[in-house]
Amino acid sequence: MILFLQQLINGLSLGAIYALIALGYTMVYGTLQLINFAHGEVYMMGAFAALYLAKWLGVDQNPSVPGVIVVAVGAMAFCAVLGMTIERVAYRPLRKMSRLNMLITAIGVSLLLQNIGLLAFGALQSFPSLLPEAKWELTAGLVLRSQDVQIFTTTVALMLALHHIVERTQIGRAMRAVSHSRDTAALMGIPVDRVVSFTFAIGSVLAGAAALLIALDKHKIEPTMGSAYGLKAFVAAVLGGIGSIPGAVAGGLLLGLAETMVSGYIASTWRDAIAFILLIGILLYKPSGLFGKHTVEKV
Amino acid sequence: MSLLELKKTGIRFGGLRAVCDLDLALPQGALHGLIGPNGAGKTTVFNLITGIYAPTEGDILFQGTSIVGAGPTRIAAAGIGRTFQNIRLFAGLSVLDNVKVAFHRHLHATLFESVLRAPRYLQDEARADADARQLLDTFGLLPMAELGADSLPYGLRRRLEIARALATKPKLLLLDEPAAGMNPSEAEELMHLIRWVRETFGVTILLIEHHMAVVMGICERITVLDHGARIAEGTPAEIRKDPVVIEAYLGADVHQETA
Amino acid sequence: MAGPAAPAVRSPLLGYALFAAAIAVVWGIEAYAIPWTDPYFTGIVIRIGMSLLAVMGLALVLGFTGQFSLGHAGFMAVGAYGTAMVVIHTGIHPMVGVFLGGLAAAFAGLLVGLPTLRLTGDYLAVVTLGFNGIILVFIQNTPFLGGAAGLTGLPVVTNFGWTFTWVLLGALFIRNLLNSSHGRVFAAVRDNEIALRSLGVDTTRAKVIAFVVGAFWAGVAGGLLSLYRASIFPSQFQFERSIDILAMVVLGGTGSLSGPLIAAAALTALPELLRPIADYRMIIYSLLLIVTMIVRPQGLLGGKELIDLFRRRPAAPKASGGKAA
Repeated sequence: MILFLQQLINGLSLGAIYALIALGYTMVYGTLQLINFAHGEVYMMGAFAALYLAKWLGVDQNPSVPGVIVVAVGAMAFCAVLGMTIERVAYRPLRKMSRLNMLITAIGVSLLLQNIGLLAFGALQSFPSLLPEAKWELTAGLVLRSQDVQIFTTTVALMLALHHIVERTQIGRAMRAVSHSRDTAALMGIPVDRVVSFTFAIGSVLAGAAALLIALDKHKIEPTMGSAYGLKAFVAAVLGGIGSIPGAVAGGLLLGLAETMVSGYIASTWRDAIAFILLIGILLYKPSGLFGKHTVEKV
Repeated sequence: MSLLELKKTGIRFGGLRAVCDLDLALPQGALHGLIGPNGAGKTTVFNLITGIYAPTEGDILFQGTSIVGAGPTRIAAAGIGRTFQNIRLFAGLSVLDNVKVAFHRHLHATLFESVLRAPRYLQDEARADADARQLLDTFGLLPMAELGADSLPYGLRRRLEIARALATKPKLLLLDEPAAGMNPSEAEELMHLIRWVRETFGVTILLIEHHMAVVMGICERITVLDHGARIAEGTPAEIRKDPVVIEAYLGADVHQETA
Repeated sequence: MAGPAAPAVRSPLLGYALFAAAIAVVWGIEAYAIPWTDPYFTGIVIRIGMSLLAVMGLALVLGFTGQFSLGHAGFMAVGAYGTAMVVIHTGIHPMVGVFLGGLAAAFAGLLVGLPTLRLTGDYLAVVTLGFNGIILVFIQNTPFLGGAAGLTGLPVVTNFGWTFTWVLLGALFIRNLLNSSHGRVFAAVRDNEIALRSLGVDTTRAKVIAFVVGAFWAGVAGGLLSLYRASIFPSQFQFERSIDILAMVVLGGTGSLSGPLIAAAALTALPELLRPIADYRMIIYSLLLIVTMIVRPQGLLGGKELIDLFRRRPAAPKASGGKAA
């Protein structure tokens, strides 16, 4: 039972990270029907941006809450700019062409960023503790770490903010309109390009937040973390129903729980397989995902 | 017995009833028109018949057996051919190959016989080639056989799409707005083509068309849809005088619909 | 009409004769030229041959049928380990082992393709990518397959002769398949699946056939690889290898067979010839991919074959790289 509860905490923590990254995939898919393979790399770049920013500002030497907030805002802003740049430079020229072309470009951008990362940052780097860390033993053997609390609270806060933006603001309405039908939205006078750009920005900001959270948790970052987490997060988005925002959250949590339960009860070496087993299972049983709408192809 | 029979057929997309309680019976050899204002659900009826959508209510019988849930491939194989409102040719294939693809189902050679160029494959290919060329010839498309399908002018693409549908040897042919975008003389020519197709190939035809001259000119009976429901059915003369139909069309923009 | 129409179907005898001659040339080179050739150079040529086999399978699946498979290296892994198991545990000829390895990969392709190819959209990309991952996790966790440390002590059988015998077989198989009714159906799947279904053609079946054939030839490539350096490791079949193959197909041109083969030869040889820039290989790849997609989305020979460039009259188009799918 203790093992189960412990894995529950670990799983929710991991799942929250997946959910934050998955949101970027799902929102971009909603507007452009594109699997933005480069999204994982935006997340990776966010972690390194946070690292260099923390070093430059000296926050790693003198950790403080305002310092961390500055680092977080800086990393998220960096991700937003990176995401919007990728969209502008690599995807927008191809929007009229086949989805295959855009998908290959996305893979190209992903590889490019990852290899730039490998050249520029080398392999593994350690990430300093910027916040005081604590462990609370809830009962014998059941540990809650301050990092888990950070992840939960930040994730919930960001989700609420996202919900507000999407449901209550004008740009959110425009995003929903564009994801419903890009052409109709354009005819209604919605500035589609700006909305798409904003969608990339929002998704990238969430990825940047996820990157800082995971860096503060694991204290290790590496240029390949984007493909590892990115792929899983994408699977989470598909599990939940690609294009669906609540689906991305549910899919992320489900995947995080599944992975930690497999590590806890079977073997950690099999952990990486569970994502794809879940994926194939859900595609067989409910191709549109848990929250996905069944879409009818226009004829 | 009717070749095609829709019984109280309907479909809902979420809360929207795109088609409801539709009854339609096509006897063998009929040339039937399906008209109605934009958004009346005409193409949805085609998609229901061809299995692209499954009806949520009612039944669809083809040659006396229900085809609900059979899926587009099996329904097409059972003998229902169609064309599409937005022409759907295989743009990357030649005119000839567009038609040859339609023979695929009738070929006998296995994958390995095809790869090894076995005699059965050679016979298949020779026959498909001859049949396709003959069909193109009857449609006046043989001179363009080797051209890419996407290089044909608009009117000929419509023609090729009809020829391709006929290559599957259908018993029922569904034509979705074949005269769309045509000028009066092209539409006139199309009318002759449709009549000729029915006589030559012995198919039953269900036709969606906005071009009133075409529908009234060639159809024996016409069904009028509005908001997914049948509001009238009868001969062209009856439909022309029907106050309900006139009302439905005046509600929409008459000029736009008939232009 | 100007002149008699070309016969619809040519007799296959000339083709068979040419094929036999090509096989004879390959073994002639193996017997008389290879012993005097720098083994380093021969090694590059053999590696090119293995790339050709992997690429022709993906050219069929992605370039001609329009199905986005991202796990081609996974099928190579199945072929490699299948071959290795057969060769280690039975006494049959290693090349029969390569064939059985190919069949194992084809079977894996069937298992992955059947549930996935019913669906439209990008699901195949995700599932094949996942399959690539699962198969490596499976190998790493199976001591019987050598685990993460790999399998060693395999016989070294793959030489120029065998590699290019398989390459010729594969090229003939795929070329003939493409120039048959199946090939037309593959192209029609890529162009307009809904229209193809309206002609009574089972599009899922067509996609599965293309996918299984592609997996088979990837498996053969893997099988040859397992008998090339006496050892295989799971790390040889990572996602990056799938991307390599993908890049070759896309840069060579979708809807072309010779284009991807040229790209495969060039991209396999280049890093060897340009050792100093090895560090930048992936960056060059990725930039090439992006720039090609933006500037020349149809790739080197999109929709054409090499031979078309030498014909006076342009052949009927076979593909359209930049068209909306």
